[in-house]
Amino acid sequence: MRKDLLDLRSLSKQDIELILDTADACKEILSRPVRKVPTLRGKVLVNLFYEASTRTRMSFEMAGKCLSADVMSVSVATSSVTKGESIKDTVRTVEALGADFVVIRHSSPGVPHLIARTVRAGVINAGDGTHEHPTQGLLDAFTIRERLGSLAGRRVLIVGDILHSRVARSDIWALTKLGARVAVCGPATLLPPGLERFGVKVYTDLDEALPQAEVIQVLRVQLERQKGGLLPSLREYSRRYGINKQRLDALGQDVVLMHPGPANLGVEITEVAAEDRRSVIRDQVRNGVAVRMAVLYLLSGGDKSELAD
Amino acid sequence: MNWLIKGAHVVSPADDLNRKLDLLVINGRIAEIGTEIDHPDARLVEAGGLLLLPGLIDLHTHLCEPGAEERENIESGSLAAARGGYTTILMMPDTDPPLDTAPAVAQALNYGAKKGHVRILVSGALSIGLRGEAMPEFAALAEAGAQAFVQPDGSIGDAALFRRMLQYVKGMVPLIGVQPHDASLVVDGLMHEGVASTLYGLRGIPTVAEETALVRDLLLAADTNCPVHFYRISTADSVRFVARAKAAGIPVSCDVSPYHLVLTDEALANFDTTCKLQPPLRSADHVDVLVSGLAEGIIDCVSTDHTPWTDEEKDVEFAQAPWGATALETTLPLLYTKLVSVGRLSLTRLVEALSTRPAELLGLRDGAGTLRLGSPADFTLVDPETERVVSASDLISKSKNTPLLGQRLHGWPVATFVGGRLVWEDVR
Repeated sequence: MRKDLLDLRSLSKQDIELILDTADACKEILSRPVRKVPTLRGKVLVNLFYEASTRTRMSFEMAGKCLSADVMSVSVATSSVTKGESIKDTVRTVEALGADFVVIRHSSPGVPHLIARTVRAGVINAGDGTHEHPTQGLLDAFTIRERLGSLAGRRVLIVGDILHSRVARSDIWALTKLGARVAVCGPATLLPPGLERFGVKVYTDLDEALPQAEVIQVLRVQLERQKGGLLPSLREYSRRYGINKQRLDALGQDVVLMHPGPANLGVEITEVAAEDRRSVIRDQVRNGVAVRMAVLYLLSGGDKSELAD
Repeated sequence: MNWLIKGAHVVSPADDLNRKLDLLVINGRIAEIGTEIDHPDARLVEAGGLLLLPGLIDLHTHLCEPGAEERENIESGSLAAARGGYTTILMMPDTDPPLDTAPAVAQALNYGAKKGHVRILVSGALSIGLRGEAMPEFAALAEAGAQAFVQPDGSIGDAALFRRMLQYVKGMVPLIGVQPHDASLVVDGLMHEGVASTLYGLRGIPTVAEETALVRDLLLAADTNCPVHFYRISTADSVRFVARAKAAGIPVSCDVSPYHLVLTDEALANFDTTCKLQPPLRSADHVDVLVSGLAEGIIDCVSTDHTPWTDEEKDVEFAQAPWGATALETTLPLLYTKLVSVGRLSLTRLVEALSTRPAELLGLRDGAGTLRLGSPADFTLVDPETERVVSASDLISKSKNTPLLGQRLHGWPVATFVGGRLVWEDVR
């Protein structure tokens, strides 16, 4: 395996399957009474977050701790850029302190790549602007696989702001590589060009897109999009693209409803829908820890059989 | 200094020369071109196997002096130009302070003459502070010696102001240059909008951000009958619009940057900030039209847009990195290797685009861009064969922000002469 996890687009189907299979073993560890293995004892994991995040950061902290790594989390105000400290300088400092892994979240696409070129530590992209969020894509694939057995031929619909979504991009690469048939749906101003090139079906009418879906991933709509003039209003967005009980019920009892969180309840998804028994939102959170354990484990040079012992 | 260059392949479209010839320089001027020339008092250069071209002329060089000498200065930038085969460069007005007053223009000319390794012409700012809001004292700038009025990185947003500018400056200087760019359509875009921007998650800049500005300014050039030069057009439709405007007799010209002829938006796959250019690198379909537009002469010339940045400024987060790349030293070998050697562009047309046509657009009447007898001996000798890898340590420019590091190129200049003076020589 390589040193870093920067994106899913450059991974092969085999790479992704190896991570998901390893995550199965990690999930077993999480079900034990003592949820801790000594695998990464003495290793240092630094979470370097240049953007606010609670879930992803907690999930990486949990994953590191379950593998016995020493975990530090740093929230760096983006203003340190204006103070004159360059990001390359910051990560070299983090490495000099002994970091074996740097988990990075940043608002600018490509920052994990810049860091990976700068330090020898393993770099994990925890979300770079509107580019990718690879561990989210992996945990979404893991969750669907857990629910449906396999992704091959499954019809997955991603609804919302595809243009600005790193989750959508990572989901598209993970799911299509594993054989799923992916469609996206959102207002035309929030759809990036050229997705058809990768076999993704593109819809602007949710009620046309929904009936084909076996899995629905609902994306958070950023409240700023209305201010940016990309949407007339959140109310109109909610009416055209919001997932509510009525739309959910029309899809039958077997549909799988997902949301990467945090949700704007009442905007892209109603609370009733989010808490419905068809929703796997909490499974996504739990599986996130297992998938991140698997990534840390594989980047540290482990193979699956060792972990199972 | 007297020189006798023997046996070079001379290519000069303005003089209709394209064959093996000798060239004699006496007292810095071209005295004779022919075969079997002999002269007792001239230093002999055996140039068999080399090309001899009229000195290259760049319409778009950022020299950074005064104000940002850590990136480049007149000394380093003009030596980089000489190394790239250039003998005349037009300095951009975006210095600090900008060249929007007569004393600033006069000082730039003075420094250029004193410190420059090649001829340095000076452009005045098309708007005060290059802010696009008000006219500088154009007549004073022209009297101080400005050869052009330019807005090097953008359009004048206010159409009424640009129209008045064209009415006012018409006939004052040979060249009025803008880069077609509608900021309201660029927003916070970072690369060409298309499949690649979707892949890399970088905000797209649509082609219409260039084309709406271009078409507006084509109409204003027609309306005022004032010549307008468009810096570095980058889209297929821009080429088509310029072709139609020229056919309709509108007095416009345009150029393209060397990188837009060779690289595509896929060069950004690794978020390499050296490829972050304005306008953005486009997709392959646009690149093909730009190359054929240059070959057909719809695009008049190639301008380097040599834009130095230090590593500290450029090797940062992609979104924060400034726009632009250095280019003076590599433009000729890049285009020779990627276009001429593979038969996509004739050598004659390349020389027109890098020398003959820029000289005409700058209104140079002293023989620049030609090898006319009696004119100052500005020329460059080029080795068409020897390959060399572009490396940071080998580049003369103070800044190393080129997307070409590691590339193998041939067609490098080996000696550059300005007014008969050898200003740069490849000592290897």
